[in-house]
Amino acid sequence: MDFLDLFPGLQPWVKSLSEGGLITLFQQAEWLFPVVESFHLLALATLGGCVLVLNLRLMGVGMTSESPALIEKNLRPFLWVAIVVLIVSGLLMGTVVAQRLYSRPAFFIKMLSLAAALFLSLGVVGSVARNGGLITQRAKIMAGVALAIWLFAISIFATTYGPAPGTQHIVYAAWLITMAFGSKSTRIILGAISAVWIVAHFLATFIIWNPSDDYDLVMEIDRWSLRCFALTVTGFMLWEFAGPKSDQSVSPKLTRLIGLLTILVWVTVAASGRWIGLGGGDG
Amino acid sequence: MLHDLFNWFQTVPGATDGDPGTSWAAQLVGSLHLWAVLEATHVLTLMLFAGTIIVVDLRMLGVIFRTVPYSTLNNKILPLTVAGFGLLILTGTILFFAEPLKYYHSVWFRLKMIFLLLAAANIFWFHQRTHKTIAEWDAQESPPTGVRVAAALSLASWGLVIIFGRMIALSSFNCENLKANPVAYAFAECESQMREAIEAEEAYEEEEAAEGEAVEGEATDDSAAPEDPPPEEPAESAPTPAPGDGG
Repeated sequence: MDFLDLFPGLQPWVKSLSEGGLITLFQQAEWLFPVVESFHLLALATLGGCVLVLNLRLMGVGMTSESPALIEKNLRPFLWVAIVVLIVSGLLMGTVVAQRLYSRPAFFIKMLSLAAALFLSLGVVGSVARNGGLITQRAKIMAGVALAIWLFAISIFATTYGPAPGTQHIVYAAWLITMAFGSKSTRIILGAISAVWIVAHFLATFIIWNPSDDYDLVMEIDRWSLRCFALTVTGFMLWEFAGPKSDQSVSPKLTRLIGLLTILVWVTVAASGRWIGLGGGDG
Repeated sequence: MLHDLFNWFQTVPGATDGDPGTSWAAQLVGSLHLWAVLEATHVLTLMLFAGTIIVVDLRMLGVIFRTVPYSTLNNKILPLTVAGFGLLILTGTILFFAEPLKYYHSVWFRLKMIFLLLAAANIFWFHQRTHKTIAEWDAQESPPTGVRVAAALSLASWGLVIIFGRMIALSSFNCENLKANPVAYAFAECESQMREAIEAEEAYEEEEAAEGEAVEGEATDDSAAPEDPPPEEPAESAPTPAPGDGG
């Protein structure tokens, strides 16, 4: 699914975008695009720091000696600067390659998850942090909407041929968070499962079967193997951060889940963004 | 010579029948999506590594978390930075060995490595000198000049590492396009890279000529069959994802 499928009527407008003066400028100065993209990356890093530090605190880990309200207040200006630079540089790059983005599913996934991420970071997390972990009715509804949008986005992400491998980044981010902040027993069990999974996956897709002889079979194994691993990681992650034994005193369960969701949604935005270029083929 | 070493890495390990197109490096570049997953992981890890380092540096500059002791960030945030760094080095090293010659002769990659070393030296210097006096300035809203200089140097050098990293994909700075720029040409050691390309071309032309002669000989004298099989077609270049194609 992409914007071309949904809004075919926009074609003339998208075409006119890529015939404007901006594209001539970018064509004349070949270095301009990578320079703009560099700023996109610097802002991505800044955003990553702000989102991680604040939302890990909401999850009850990281800078637990400080209140979420203090962390939110300190990081807010940089979060805003990062989001503005990301959107401005993104619009510049997007205008230049508008025709390509129009038909790329990865771009559609990115815009969906971006909407969810902005809902969460600007509408929910700020209010939860400022109210000392208290979640207002409005924040609950917004978080629910964001969750629904995100689930829709990752279901397209995982089932669209080109960018599908990009969903691995979301799984690996969840894995890293669980391994970094989970209990000792979870680390040992999930670590062992992961090691077995890597070896089994390698054997199944390179040694026993390989892409040049059994392409379709290997792709199918690849997909299902990743789905099973994703389910396993999700199970351990939810058990750790929202399970019966999770520590409610540092941060209540729902607050933890909002922090976790916000981190994973931003990872989805970045991952689908990178796979606009890597996923190849117009969908 | 590093050039020869990387040339070996790119063409020999894993190669069957001496065909460089089948080496592990070539297999990784031509992989279904392993290369792409590694590259995207490398870029996304910036959120973890550079993101957390920016937060710590801003505290050292006295810009944010002025009421929070530096040691709190050092203990709670820096371990995340270290984890991110490990992941970047791991993915970066594998990506380097997918196309070692390309990166070795890239102006941008060399600049990136220089500023990476500078950033590392800055960390080392900071820990050797300034970090020992941490008790004196830990709770200060604005730490002493030495600490702030270290933080500014860190932000600047990591920023440049990211920018130069993105520039590696700019093909107009490849050796074959750098002849008009003697400084960059020498900086990227393009001489050895280009010599090899010229030699490869000459060798190919010689083979072509030899083949032509052999065919002529065959036509006149049937007994003089060529001993060697005709040189194989050059291996079809693997489908390389374009690193600069991102959004």
